[in-house]
Amino acid sequence: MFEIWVEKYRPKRLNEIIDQKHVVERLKYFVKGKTIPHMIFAGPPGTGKTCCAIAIARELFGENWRQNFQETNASDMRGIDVIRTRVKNFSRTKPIGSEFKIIFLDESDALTPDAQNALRRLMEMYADITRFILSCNYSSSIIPPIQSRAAVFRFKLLSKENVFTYLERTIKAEKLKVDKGALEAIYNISEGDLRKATNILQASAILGKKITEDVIYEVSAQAEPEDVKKMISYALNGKFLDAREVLKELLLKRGISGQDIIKQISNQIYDLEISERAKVELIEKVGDFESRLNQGGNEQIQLESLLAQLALYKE
Amino acid sequence: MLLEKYKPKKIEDIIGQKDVVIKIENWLKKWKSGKALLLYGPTGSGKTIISEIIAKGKKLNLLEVNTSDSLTAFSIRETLGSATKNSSLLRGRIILINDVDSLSSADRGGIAEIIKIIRESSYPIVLTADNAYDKKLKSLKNYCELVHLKKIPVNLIEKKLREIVLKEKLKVSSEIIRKIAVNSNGDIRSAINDLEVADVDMDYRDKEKDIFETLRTIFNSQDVRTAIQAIESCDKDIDEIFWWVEQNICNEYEKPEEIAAVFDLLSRADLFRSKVVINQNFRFKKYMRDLIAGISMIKKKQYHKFVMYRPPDRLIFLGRTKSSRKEMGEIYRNLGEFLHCSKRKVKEQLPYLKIILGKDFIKM
Repeated sequence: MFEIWVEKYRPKRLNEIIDQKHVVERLKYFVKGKTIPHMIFAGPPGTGKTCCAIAIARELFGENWRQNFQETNASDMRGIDVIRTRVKNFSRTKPIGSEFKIIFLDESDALTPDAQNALRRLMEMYADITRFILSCNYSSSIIPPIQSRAAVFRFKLLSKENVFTYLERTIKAEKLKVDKGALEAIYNISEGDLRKATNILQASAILGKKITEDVIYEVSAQAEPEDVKKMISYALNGKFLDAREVLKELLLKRGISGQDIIKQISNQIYDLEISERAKVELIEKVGDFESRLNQGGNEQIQLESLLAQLALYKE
Repeated sequence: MLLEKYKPKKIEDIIGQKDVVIKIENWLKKWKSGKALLLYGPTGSGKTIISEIIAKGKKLNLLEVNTSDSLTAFSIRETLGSATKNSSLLRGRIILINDVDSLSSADRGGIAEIIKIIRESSYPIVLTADNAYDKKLKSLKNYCELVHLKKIPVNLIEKKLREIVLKEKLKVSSEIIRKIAVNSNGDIRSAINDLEVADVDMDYRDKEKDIFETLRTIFNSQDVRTAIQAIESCDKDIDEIFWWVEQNICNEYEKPEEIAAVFDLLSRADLFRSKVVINQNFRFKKYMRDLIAGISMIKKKQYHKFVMYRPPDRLIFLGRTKSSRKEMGEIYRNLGEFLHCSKRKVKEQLPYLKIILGKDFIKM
């Protein structure tokens, strides 16, 4: 459909997964035995959780693996209703050409405790024909009854060498020229997230086959607008109305995600001309608001409230 | 702007309040150090403008202090300390302190300092307040002579509006003029502003009357229950009211602490809204409503600028972009399926995806 390298170079077999040896060895063992338990994949973004789930499905079910594999995002479909309808319906259907099916629930941390309880019932009732793989950033956000019914696999943050190994595959296949500085830059910006790293690489490649450190930062600058800096500066100078205008432009017109904006605000706190103590207080406030966003808070109002708090700390 | 153009410049321009003008002039004539004049009455009745005009008429230098300034003892002393001492360079001076009943808790020692200044000042001091019987003013009143400004009579307001309509050749019917005069409730400033809007879009004013009233109540009510009732009886639902409040809040509050407090309430109201969605539990709507009503308790004062309510940018923008956003939603979903991730993650990667897909993205 589209040529997006994240998909094109996504590891398809367990052998191709980058690192996570601990996890991959056990998964291979399950595949050999042609059966898997319910599982929880916990770890930072872009470390291979979805990849592993899909790889298992491919190796167990062969070509028509999609028939026995349902992917659902808890963040897109948040309520308990989704569990009771969509997930339940798929759980009940008979697997095709296999003893069982797999349901993959991504971003499970977004599931409310109620939804998780409903899920746990499904896991008990249909265990013989359906296996669940839950993916999340922190396993602690999964309720204990589910944790006890599933095998928990921890995905580690990838090292620099891992990231480089993975990128080399793409670089070779696409015949790119990437210098050492650029690779370092990609690693720094992506923080071990292979999805992000691949996107940065591909976006840079659009600008030309030779990729240097400057190109990397240029590409990332496009994704990280100067306007956020301007907005923070307005807030800290007591110009709340102006800050709010910039925010509305970013969110409503440019469609920048609130999470992105808040990440940048938190990155910029340490560079501000305010007391060290104020910086710590602000970091706490930013964390508070990021958590409100995670809970489903509206991006505009939560960020405005954060800006109003910033305005109390004149620079 | 009509308000600026028709602002009274001479005593003859002042509407109603003829007796008040006489009282003030008499007070000035007989003024002796030790007592101030406290003008009190509803907003838009003329307290500040009359003081300004009288000072101008008598060629007195006017020094004005407002609630948008800090009113702590320290600031008052700074601003007014030397101003109240006798200066041979000045023919005379009046000191005007607006909205003394709106001192906030951040304005420490303000009242005590004002009293001190009144006792020692070499120049007459005039204070204004909405409500002379506010608890804060109890001790202050011992040092003041009180003058009450009543609401400006509807007929006088109507008369003035007609004058303006004639002069400016506005397209406003007699019926609407009468309506505006009645609605203004004695506040000539709001009447003139309404006139300006009525000329532009009569439909809009009428259609949105309900939410305007609700907003007015939320921002000005003395108790939360009244504000709750206003929300309940409004024809718009709470989610829409929420955005009307958000849009217009910055016109009502100026101080950073007030703005932060108000947005904190809104932020928490929003969290309840999302709980309604996630848990499908409509009880949380009640908390959302109550927190919004709670805004009325954030201390604020009528600042001396009239407030014209605007519809929420957000709803206008979202309405205008509804179809394109629906398309974007579709795009996110399709990309999400293709990339094995949620719409939210697609959004996070969007800047890169736009570059990567380039023309294909636009085609989508």
